[in-house]
Amino acid sequence: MTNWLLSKLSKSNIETLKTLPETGMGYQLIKTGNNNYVNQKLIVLNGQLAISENALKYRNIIKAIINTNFKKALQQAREVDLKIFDVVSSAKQLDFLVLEENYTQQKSAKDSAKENANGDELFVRLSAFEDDIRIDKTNKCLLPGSFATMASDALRCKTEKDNAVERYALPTDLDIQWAYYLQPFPKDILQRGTVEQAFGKRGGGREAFFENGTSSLTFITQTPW
Amino acid sequence: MKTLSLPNNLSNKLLKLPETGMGYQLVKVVLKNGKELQHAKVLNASLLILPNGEYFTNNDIEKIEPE
Repeated sequence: MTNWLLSKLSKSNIETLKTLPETGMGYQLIKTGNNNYVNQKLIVLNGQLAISENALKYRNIIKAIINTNFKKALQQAREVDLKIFDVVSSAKQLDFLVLEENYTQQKSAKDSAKENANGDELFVRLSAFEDDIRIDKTNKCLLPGSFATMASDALRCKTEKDNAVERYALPTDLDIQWAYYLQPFPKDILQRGTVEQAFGKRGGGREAFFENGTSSLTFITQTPW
Repeated sequence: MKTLSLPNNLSNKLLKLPETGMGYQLVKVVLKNGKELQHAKVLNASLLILPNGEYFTNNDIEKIEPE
């Protein structure tokens, strides 16, 4: 399984897919394989950009990234060369996964047990700052001792119109302007928890604390919030 | 909200310390006159929010410590 949410297809793959029919308008659902993708189904957008089945649990996030800047998403994706077995004719054959977080845990992140990232999960660091100092853009990673939240939780701010400043009990009323997307590698360690009430804000959102930061190349992209 | 942009040496020090929550740290600011300000908020490891009724500059800061 790749650690990347989005992959850019090789020129050879792009040429192959040009000769095969679309599954739906603007996309192809393919069966494929290589060292990273073993007998997987992938969605290929615009004949160029592949999204793994597992990553589809974040489809709204992916949509946001791609809508913001498809060209940039393409540039930042890792190139893969796949053995394409087939194009699936119906999207119904793909199981769209819905991520349901376990909200029973109420401890703050720093009070919670350490765990390894699974390599697929997407995290977001919400910030009022266009140049968030905790994001190392040179090495494309999150610096040690930093917080983020699960992408699925941040998405609730949008879908449920929840105020992120309240949800994450941030100390000022500065509006969140930017979202920094991270996909930690399995070797990266984090602690999950629930944001406690603070600064007169109710908290309740999910948080993840990365004591040692994340590995290089785990910072995917930055988009307006 | 009054804020103070911290100098690089203090910002770099804070950057090496863990956050209190996403995007911020709670710190103790010790001024050169001996006054200690508890629970001061620093955003983005660089922007100190001056507590209500307080006014000082970077030159007045003796040290900043994590809480």
